[in-house]
Amino acid sequence: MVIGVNTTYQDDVQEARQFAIERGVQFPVLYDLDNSASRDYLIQALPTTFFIDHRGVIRKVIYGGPLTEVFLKAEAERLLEEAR
Amino acid sequence: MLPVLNVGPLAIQLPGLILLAGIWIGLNRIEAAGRQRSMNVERLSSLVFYALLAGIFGARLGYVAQNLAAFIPRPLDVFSISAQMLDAPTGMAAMLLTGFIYVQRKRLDFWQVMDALTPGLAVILMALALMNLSSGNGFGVAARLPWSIYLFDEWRHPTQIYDFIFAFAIWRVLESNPRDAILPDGFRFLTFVVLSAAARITVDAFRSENVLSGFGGVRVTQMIALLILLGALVVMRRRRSSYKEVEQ
Repeated sequence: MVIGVNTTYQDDVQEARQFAIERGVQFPVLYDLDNSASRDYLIQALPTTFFIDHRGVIRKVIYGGPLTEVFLKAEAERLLEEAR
Repeated sequence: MLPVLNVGPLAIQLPGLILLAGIWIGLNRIEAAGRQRSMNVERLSSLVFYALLAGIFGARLGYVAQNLAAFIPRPLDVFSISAQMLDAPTGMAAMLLTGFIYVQRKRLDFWQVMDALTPGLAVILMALALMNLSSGNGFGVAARLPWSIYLFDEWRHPTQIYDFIFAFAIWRVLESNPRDAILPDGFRFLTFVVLSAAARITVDAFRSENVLSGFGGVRVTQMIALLILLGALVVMRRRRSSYKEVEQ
């Protein structure tokens, strides 16, 4: 499952929503209004991508972007395979 | 953890920078060790260059082979510039194989070459530990200790710092061995292998992300490190015996 988290504490909900619509984002986007998610996940650069396995363990963190589609698919597929 | 260093408008990926610095300092140490042993430094540098190049290609091929299904619809993505799509063990194997072929082709003394490479490898080991500390990779299990670090919502064993301490100690031992002149060729390298395998076994006991082997809490990496350590000890013993025979 892909979840996007917008760092809304330094952004604006309306603008973030508009951005997601314009880009045709297909996955749920959550709003980090009070910086708590960014603080807990030690976000230092945008975008930061976390690959979390079925046990909830962070298996890989990628700072910066863009990431290739094939890389995202390969990493997601590997974690799904482990969970089967 | 400091994965990105923001300098004005620039966002510098610190782990990559640390690794590059480690390779650069390591290469300098290799060249110095080569000169000390009156070896052909140019050949040593070429060996490292070809091995690194093969390592990068091998790492990408390994990644593609392991994720073939993802690449079949987009085969050209095999060539995309991405530092993420690399498989370290395959890269390492390609690097070792290329290095071995180069040594054979140029008729270099294998053990002398390995001894000359050792100080550089020890420096790169330190760089890898700092790289993991910067990126947050290789993090430890949760533990509330006076020296724990707060990472990913938990107080944890600072395994990356343990790694660095071990790597620094190994580097000091290898760089300050005054008995090197009377040791058989290859002993400096084999000492490095034994010490770093012992460090792996120790530190991995506190690492969170490694796969368990099925023997209690023993991790797969610890078992591999133990086999490497035992193998290196056997080779050391054999080389010492043959060295004594030659001396007599």
